[in-house]
Amino acid sequence: MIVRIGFLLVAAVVLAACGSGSRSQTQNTSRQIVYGLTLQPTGFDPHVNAASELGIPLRSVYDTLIYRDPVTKAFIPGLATDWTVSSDGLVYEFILRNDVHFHDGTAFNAQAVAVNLDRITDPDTASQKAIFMLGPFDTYEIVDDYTIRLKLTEPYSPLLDSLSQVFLGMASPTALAATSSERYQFHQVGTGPYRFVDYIPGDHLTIARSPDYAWGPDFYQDALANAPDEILFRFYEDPPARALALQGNEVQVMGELLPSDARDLSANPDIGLLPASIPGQPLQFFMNTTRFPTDDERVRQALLFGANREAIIDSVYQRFSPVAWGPLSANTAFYTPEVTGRYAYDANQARMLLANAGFADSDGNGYVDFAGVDLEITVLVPPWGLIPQVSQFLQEQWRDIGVRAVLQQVPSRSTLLEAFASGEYNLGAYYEFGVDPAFLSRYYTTNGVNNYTGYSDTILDNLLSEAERQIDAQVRQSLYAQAQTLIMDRALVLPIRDYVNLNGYRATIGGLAFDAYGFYPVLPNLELNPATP
Amino acid sequence: MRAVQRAITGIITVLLAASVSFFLLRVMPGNAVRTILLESGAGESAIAGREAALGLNQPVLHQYAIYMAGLFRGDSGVSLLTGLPVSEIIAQQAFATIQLAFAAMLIGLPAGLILGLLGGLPDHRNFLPFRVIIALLLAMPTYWLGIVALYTLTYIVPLREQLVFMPILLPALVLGLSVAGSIGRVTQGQVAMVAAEPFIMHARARGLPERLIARRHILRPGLVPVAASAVLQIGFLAGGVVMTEILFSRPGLGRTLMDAVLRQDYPVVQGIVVWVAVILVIANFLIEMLYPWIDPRVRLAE
Repeated sequence: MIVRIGFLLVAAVVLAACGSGSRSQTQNTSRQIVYGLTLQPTGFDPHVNAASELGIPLRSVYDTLIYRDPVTKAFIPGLATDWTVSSDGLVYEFILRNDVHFHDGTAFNAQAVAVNLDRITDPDTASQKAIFMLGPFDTYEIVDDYTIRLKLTEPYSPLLDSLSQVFLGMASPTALAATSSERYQFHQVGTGPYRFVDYIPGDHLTIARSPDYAWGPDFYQDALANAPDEILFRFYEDPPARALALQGNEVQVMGELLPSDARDLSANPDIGLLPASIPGQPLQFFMNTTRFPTDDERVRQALLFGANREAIIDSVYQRFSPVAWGPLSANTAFYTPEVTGRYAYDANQARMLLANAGFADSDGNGYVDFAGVDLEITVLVPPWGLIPQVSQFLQEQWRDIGVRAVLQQVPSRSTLLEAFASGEYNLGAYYEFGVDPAFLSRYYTTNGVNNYTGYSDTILDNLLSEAERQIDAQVRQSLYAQAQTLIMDRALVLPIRDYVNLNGYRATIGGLAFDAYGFYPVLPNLELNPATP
Repeated sequence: MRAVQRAITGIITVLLAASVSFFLLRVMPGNAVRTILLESGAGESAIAGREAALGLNQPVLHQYAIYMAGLFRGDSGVSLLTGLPVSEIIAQQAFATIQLAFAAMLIGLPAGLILGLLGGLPDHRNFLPFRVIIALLLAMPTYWLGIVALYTLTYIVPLREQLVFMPILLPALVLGLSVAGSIGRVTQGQVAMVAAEPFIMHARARGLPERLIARRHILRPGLVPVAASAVLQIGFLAGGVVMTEILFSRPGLGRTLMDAVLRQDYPVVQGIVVWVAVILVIANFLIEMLYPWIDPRVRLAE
């Protein structure tokens, strides 16, 4: 009896709970779609938080002063119609549009830009990314209502690239003032084609179209003409669950599908696949030049020649990725085709290099050795990006050239960074994304904060720091080309594949495309097709 | 008197949980701020400045004292990454977790009791299939069961779109089955043990109907350990069930906890650990109050 009453009580509570279920509002109206995000960022404030995922919905909530064309990657007008850079590279002047207002009605002007810059640089904001993207930004000067100058302490050519990213998107000064900084992420207001509706951590984020949007960049063709009225973003962190959700029509667009699932889905006529290359660094392993045996350039070159990247891409990535040949993905700005095809798989060449370096299999155990000690390398293997599978292939391939690879699993970003800091590794997987290769200086200059190769060379240092200061694109192209070639000459990195985001979408969705950064969908260009029965 | 003793033990348990989680987290190298800033290309001076602002550069014992003092004031701090109060983060996520936990218990507890009773009675003719079911439920990891359920509903019986309107059903069923396995196993053992007692033979000799014997004389005396194991299940569910939450893309404390551990957002991890400890202590306390009611022999022993 007691037990029975207990059950009734519990049942009542659960039924009540289900009735008020937070997802009841998520039911599909005909003009609403669900977009699957793959990671739950800690926070969704673009000025504060650093996760790329936040930009998938928010890229369409905010406009930026400038945009990059998705195809040519050239800078094109956004909220700024025109801009000039002083000859010393220290002053950037922006002429702003005068016909823009935020979703809350606040007018957009130079003062609004100033408020945003103030917020990003305020120490209390504790910006995790935006502030660092401003580089040596010092101060601003409001020339008139629609003209603002940004002043730097030293030349910094990636500034325009930074200003075209959602992390430096323009938020409504009224909305910023209305709430505490840490709660702004729940009440965001921008000027973009979609307005922010709500964000419930762990559950969903919703945006809805902003009907009077009329100031988009050129590539927003017929923005919002047939786009969804409302887009609901939900989190699918478990990779196998993503394809199932797409297949079950629980979501209509989903990123980061597993390659094997994408292969299976490609046979389904109701589902389209859109592999999108992400510019930046390829999936790669840095080689530690300060630790035996990778301190020997011939060993590093042998590891490059001994890695059969085609085979890895065929099986691990189901051919959904191009082979990477250098420190930049092929669709990154200033990529040089000179590195293409270098160190193509050649096991004999690898064995010869090892022999030249003084290694031979004297005890006949299949591994080359030096003074009786087998050639052994330690590889840091984080769990993401199918790196564990890639590492197992490499281990097998290197066994074939007589090198023993010890795979050391690192469970999280912090343990990986700690392992890099300890210096006790030969190779470690790490990569970041971006169109402007300015990040290379952090990885390959002597004092770079992410210098995981331990390499130090004044020629490379000068090339990379000069490339960051120069404004002229031709000059930068030449400097970055030399730097990429030099990095591969010295065999500092083992690139595996250009990073490809495998997106799947229901056939009812048309016009799915990604912006210059590869990761952010151009949502106003989406088209909802009538459902095919 | 006993209640006071219980309360003191409970408070000590919570403090121990808070302390252990505090120090375990700091054994790991790095912290949330350092990791995320390194990824954004911040220099060492910027990182050190940010750490100092959050007190992360203080000696560990000093940080511990500050944390404990805060805890006594009911202040569990703010997230290192969003600046939001930990209590607010927990409050926001707890609803989904409690909802799922209740639904899972609602399915798992009766199912476990019935399975255990049917599988435990030695003279029951068909006890074998029930024992097999219990063993299977215990053996199947919830993650695997969840994937199988999702796969089945996507490809074999395509009901996924319909289920969107009742999103809790599937995760609750998957979790409930695993709860049923544990409860069923304990119940089965207890029932088998009690059924062999002489007083059962006596009840039969009195000519009582079998159903009455099973319910009143066998199940009821065996319920105390079952209740204890149910409390453990509540503790397990109160922390959220990471894989179920992730698989079914639900919010909840388990997922929040896992993210916070991986990102080393110390205050959030500590906050959730303390929350789970408090729930467990309270559940234990309540169930102990109920023991004499479930089994009068407990009352006599006092």
